[in-house]
Amino acid sequence: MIFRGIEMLNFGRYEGRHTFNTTVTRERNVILVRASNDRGKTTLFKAIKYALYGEQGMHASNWINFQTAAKGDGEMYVEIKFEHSGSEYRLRRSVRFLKTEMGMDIATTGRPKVELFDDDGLVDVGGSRDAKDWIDGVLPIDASQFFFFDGEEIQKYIDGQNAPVEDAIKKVLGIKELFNAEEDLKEIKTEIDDEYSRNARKQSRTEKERGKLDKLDAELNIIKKDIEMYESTRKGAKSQQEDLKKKLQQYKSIEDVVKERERAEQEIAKIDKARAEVDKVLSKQRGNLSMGMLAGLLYTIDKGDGQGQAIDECEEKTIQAIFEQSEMVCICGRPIDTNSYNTLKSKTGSDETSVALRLRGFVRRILREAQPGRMIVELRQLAERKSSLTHDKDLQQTIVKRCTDKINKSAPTEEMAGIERQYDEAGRDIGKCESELHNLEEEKHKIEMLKKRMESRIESGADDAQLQSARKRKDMCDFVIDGIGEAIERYYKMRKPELESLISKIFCQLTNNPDMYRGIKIDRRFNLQVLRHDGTMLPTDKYSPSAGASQIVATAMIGGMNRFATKDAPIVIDTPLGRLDPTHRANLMIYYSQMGRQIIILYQPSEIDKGDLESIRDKLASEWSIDSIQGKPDLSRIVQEVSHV
Amino acid sequence: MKPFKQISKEKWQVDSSLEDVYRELIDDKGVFAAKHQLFAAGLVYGLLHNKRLDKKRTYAITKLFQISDDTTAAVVDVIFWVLGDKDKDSDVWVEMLKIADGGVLALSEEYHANGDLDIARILDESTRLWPQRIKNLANVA
Repeated sequence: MIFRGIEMLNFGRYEGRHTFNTTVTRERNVILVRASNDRGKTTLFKAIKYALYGEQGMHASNWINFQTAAKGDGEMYVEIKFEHSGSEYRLRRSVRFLKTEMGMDIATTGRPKVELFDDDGLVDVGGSRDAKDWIDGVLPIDASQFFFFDGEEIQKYIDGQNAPVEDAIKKVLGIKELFNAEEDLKEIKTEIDDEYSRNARKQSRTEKERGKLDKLDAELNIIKKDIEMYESTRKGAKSQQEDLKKKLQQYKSIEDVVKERERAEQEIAKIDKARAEVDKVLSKQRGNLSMGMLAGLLYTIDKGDGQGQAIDECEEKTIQAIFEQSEMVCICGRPIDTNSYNTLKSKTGSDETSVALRLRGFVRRILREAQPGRMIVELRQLAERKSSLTHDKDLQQTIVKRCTDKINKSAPTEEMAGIERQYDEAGRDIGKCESELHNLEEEKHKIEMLKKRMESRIESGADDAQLQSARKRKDMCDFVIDGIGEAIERYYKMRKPELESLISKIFCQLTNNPDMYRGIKIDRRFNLQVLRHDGTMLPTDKYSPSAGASQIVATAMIGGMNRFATKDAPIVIDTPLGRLDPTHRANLMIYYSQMGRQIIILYQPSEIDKGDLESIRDKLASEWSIDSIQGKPDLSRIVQEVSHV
Repeated sequence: MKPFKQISKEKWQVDSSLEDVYRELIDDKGVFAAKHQLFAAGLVYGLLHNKRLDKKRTYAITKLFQISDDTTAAVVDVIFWVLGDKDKDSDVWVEMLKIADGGVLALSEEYHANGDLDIARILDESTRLWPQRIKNLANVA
């Protein structure tokens, strides 16, 4: 699939219709979209996902441009034109809305509509469910996370929690359903085991045997209840810890925001100083404004109407000195012939031609001495410098405002210290639960083995059809569970090296220290490990203290998954470089440009510098910027700056 | 076309009807460093945009010969000649003062509307407008 273009109507910050031409060629496959924070970069990213996959937990009304809705009823849509398997399509997801006052939830009329068009018109894909299947056939939603991703959000793959990695791997391998089946069967097996135990108890020969079985069951029940309790406590503590972690991360990010605001305030102070300097110089240079404005007239007079040569003041005075002499001699004393004498006379006469020549001479002297061209250049440079400083100041003031808003919404420091204490306590609770659970599981296993041995003894001494039937079901269930487990294991083992190899290859291409690492390994519990050249393995969240290094692993993981998914689709990357150092940045930019047939990179100005751009200059298809609309800071537009194709 | 001659600077006084504007743009806001600079800018702007303000000029700025700045002097010289189709030089000079006041008032309005003088736009406009304006100026048409 290749996107041909994206059109949005009243989507998020984009009031009215906005088009984004996504033409690429084989050689030039990268589209850059530059936007400062809060300008609509992520809105564009989400618009693409919305068009393809719908609301995904966020109601369409949240994406309707509220300024438009405040004016009256209307429509919001995102339309993607794309090529897939040699055919051209248009996919449009739209919803109609009613006039809604600002600040109210926007009312929509009916569900969002999905329409697919090809060259022959509307394609019948059935209802929205069938449209989903059609789109899934092009790029499954599960795989889309490896094609449309946020450079900072992919950190979740390496933050020590293996759930996102596990989920991603299961999805990309297509074994998630097998895991679900295994889980379901384990639940069924509990019932079958109970049934077998009940039958075995019935067949026990003595009271003592039954008493023993009852005792084991009672002990097992107590242990199971304890396990349930500890599991529930652990789950609660984990969930609490996750929530606290999020709050703490916000707190940490607030520290960054405070620093960012300080930096912006320092920048504003510097800009003000620079502006005061420029104003001082401008105040003096504005004295030249009159000459600058007059230049157009002077140049026109200087150009003249082509009647002979201009005469300047010095020449005029020289000629007058000649005429003041009684004879036809030059001021140097040499005689002048009649023709030359008449020519000189015509230059200083009172007729129109001679007046024009004298004026031109006068103007030429002014042009030579005052040099209005130079004045204009200097004035323009100063004006541009001032304008650029004003723009920079606006930008920094926006940052200060955004940071202040964020800081005002955050909790005070004392509260955060309390959260940190709670986080540590939750961690201790989890540790305690795990230790108890470990002991309980061992105890449970012992009792189960005892019970199993007793039940086997009972079964061998009895000749009961029900018991035998229960045994058969129990064995069959075990057999199927083992079979699924083995299938998963074998398939995982078979495909894992391929996945590891793809991830490792990208990791080695991206890291700034390729001599130190051999690649990435994935263990049975879906943990990513960095394999060093000395053979040691380190968890990805611990192999390097640098946030940039972590992002490299996350990108390698995404890249590997992307290759593994073997789908041909555009790559759309929001915030591509985050906090990377220059070497990592250059490696990553080159890698991104090689990631697919079409790459759309949505970046902040501070993320990518000229050097980074230089490394992919030959790959650029077009460059765009998203800007706020003048006087309407809540609205944005996307503008093409350069087209290279 | 009137014979070309330079203005006799000893005679003339630069004055204006816009004392408040001069005080604000020079003394308060520092937009221009000197009054004669604002006068010259107003003169060219007024001529270019065909502005003219005929009000009693009670604010004495300077004697023309006291302006030592070559740029301002040259601007006054050129415009004196460009407007020199009157019978008397004094008439030309009075016309120049009226045009300068018209231009200063327009620049002041622009300053208040935008919070600054948009120099880039003013220069662009002058490049664009002179070829048309020049057709109406007798001595250079």
